[in-house]
Amino acid sequence: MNDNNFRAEVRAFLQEELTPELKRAGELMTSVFADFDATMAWHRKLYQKGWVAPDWPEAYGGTGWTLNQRYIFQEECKLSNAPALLPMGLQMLGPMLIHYGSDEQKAHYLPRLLSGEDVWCQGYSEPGAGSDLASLSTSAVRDGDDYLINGSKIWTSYAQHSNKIFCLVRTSKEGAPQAGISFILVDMDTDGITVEPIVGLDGRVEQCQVFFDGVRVPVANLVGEENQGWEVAKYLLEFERGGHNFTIDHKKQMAKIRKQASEEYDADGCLWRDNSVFNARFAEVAVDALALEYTELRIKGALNAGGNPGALSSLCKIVGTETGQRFNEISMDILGPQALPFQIAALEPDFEGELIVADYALTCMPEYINNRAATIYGGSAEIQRDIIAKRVLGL
Amino acid sequence: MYIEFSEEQRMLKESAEKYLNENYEFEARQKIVKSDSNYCSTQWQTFADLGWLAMTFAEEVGGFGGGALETMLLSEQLGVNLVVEPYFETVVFGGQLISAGASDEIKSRYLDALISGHCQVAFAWSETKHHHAMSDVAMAASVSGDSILLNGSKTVVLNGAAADVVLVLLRTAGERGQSDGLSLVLVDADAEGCVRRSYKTYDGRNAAEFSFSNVNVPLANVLGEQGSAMELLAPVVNRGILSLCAEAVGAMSALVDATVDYTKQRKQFGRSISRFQVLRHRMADMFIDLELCRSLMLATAWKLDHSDADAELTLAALKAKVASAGKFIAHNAIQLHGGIGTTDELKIGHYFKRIAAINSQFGSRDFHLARFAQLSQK
Ligand SMILES: Cc1cc2nc3c(=O)[nH]c(=O)nc-3n(C[C@H](O)[C@H](O)[C@H](O)COP(=O)(O)OP(=O)(O)OC[C@H]3O[C@@H](n4cnc5c(N)ncnc54)[C@H](O)[C@@H]3O)c2cc1C
Ligand SMILES: Cc1cc2nc3c(=O)[nH]c(=O)nc-3n(C[C@H](O)[C@H](O)[C@H](O)COP(=O)(O)OP(=O)(O)OC[C@H]3O[C@@H](n4cnc5c(N)ncnc54)[C@H](O)[C@@H]3O)c2cc1C
Repeated sequence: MNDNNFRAEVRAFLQEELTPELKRAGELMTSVFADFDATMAWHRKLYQKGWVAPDWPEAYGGTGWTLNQRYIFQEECKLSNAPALLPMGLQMLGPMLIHYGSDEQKAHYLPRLLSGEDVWCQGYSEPGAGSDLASLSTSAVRDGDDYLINGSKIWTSYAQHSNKIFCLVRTSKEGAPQAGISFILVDMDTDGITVEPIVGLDGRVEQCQVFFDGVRVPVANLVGEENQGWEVAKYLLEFERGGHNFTIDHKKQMAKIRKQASEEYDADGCLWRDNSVFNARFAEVAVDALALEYTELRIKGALNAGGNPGALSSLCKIVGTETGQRFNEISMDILGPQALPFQIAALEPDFEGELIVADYALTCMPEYINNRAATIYGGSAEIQRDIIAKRVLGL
Repeated sequence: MYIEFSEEQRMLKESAEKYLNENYEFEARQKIVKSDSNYCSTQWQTFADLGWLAMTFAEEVGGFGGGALETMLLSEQLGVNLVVEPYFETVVFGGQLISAGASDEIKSRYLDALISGHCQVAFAWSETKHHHAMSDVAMAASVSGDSILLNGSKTVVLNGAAADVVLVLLRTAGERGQSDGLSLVLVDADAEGCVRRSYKTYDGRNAAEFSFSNVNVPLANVLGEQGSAMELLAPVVNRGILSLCAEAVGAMSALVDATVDYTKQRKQFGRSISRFQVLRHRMADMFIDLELCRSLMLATAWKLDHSDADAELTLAALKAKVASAGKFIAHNAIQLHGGIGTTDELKIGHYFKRIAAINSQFGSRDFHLARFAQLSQK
């Protein structure tokens, strides 16, 4: 099928299945996550269509689409305001299990992940182990056929909604810190697990701290061998960092700015879109976004030819997140005081009350706030620059 | 130009520092922010008792005759402690407008109450989609005999929820886009026909949407000359911008201190993260930006007090520089804290939100750069 026909097919599907309520949840996104219920409702629809995991190999439930088609699909979904699916299971755990999981693990977990029966969160970071992940200290001590886990994970996104967590745990203190880490799958309703929500700067909860107090987990839940977890974790991080098309996020942001600029007036009483200073500033960021788009395309080309993005994915993470943040700043300047009202109830898709400010102003401040985290999670901007310095420049 | 503070000014600075550091810790502040009114009347009363509210009013009306420098000193400390009580809205803006433009009768009715801590003021000017210049106001009122009739609405009126009186900028002549023809009218917030919808703002303060339907006000409530509100507003806006910038400088200095402290304590890769050169240089740049802002702030205060010819030019430079430096410092304070910097629990993000709110008022960086360019050609 040529790409145009494919795009038409995707659009027809979206037209049919993306209900106004689901779209609303997509419009109201102020971070990488959408409203949980809407996210899972959309997840199930895509599952029924067989489109929930386009990036997986066909044998495991993927779609068999070309890279181009996968990109088109992502783009159409995002620009028509579909709620984003949760990446922890589909983008991170799934591909990793396909590579490292045992046959039993694959047979058990992958179908449940695809159907949406299991919702996964990522238990990597700890209070004392952020950028220096390998220093993690949550311990798993062998006790018969089980491990006993003690410690805590922090910044665990959507732990409050998840029934499963994949964790890095310390199984040995010998040798290099990386050499004593194991990767384990844990049921969130096991005794001894408590979840404490963390209130974010926007006043809402996305992250949690997860405490493990003598949590008993079968040894069979290890992925890979004991003490081989670092290799597994790094493989998974490649999917967390790579694979994301920032260009599509930027297009959504630019569309929003254009809308603001065609409705709001500047200090001279002219529409912002006719303000040359604004246009120059917007163009400056848009040029970087375009340069990134062609970089993403270059990577796609390399992948198509069987290559590896290598450190270019660090480049994309840096430029993608920082460009997104610059777009947020432009919106803030257009909206001025209109960005200040704090109406978090209105960010729920089923809100029926009256908005204080225009729809496009409602999300402006929380997006600006939440997007500061984009240069922190998934390997901070400093760590990504270090990767380029070391791996590309050989410093 | 070397600015030496007088004995009184030094005392004001020290008293503000001492009182707020002892009584307005971050935890206490968060309690106020999370209360229903997100405003503490006991604190406000203490500010009045300490003479802070009176500080910048003329002696004839019960003040201590302070000027831009006193406004700056106090505002900076309010910024350090992230004080949410509306000193800016009620005193720097509302109070100065009433004191400069109201009749003696109105002054004695409202200003005494304001100075003693019993009257809250809001300035209502911005309108939906038109909120970047006061000349862009369209709401019109009709004057007949000795009364004036208001119809229309105002959006994001800061301190609007707490306000006892609202100073409404509206047209008695001309049309949107013109500076002439604007009048400033004092309206009781509970006047018949005046309806407000109150809410909180992201920086922990309060605001409201106001609508006026057939609100009848005596003509004597017009502050300054009818149709010439901009003349009355100009000096107050100037001092207001200085006050906001000083608050931002206070917030920035707190962010620099907190980030330096945190990076010394936080260990990753077996050492304090303050050992990483990229972070050291970032903090050095934060410090540099902070001090540049402080220099512009002091110069502006001095020039405003001395009606210096360059006062407005310096003020435009200050607001523009505070916008970029404020963002740079706040963004990097969060960045260098990592995940913990993105939480409600730490004060870092609350400074960031206040700086963002300051940046969104009275002209963006681009606006003030353009103004600076224009003024420097004169
Ligand atoms: C919104 C959000 C969602 C998240 N979701 C998850 C999740 O679902 N699961 C999960 O496991 N984790 C999650 N995280 C955690 C995230 O991965 C960590 O925040 C990140 O690894 C940084 O660690 P830290 O917060 O401890 O900061 P630190 O590592 O303490 O870093 C503080 C600062 O020091 C800098 N720094 C550190 N080391 C160096 C160095 N060697 N050179 C130069 N600079 C350095 C950093 O760049 C940063 O600026 C999330 C974080 C956020 C903010
Ligand atoms: C126009 C000119 C006039 C001069 N006049 C005089 C003079 O009259 N008398 C005299 O004695 N010398 C003079 N110098 C020399 C000058 O002092 C040296 O160039 C300077 O000390 C830098 O040394 P370098 O050139 O060897 O560079 P290097 O020290 O090799 O530095 C190269 C780069 O590495 C960076 N760098 C070095 N160390 C660190 C570190 N620890 N952390 C981060 N970055 C680092 C530097 O910032 C620079 O970017 C002059 C130089 C110039 C260019």
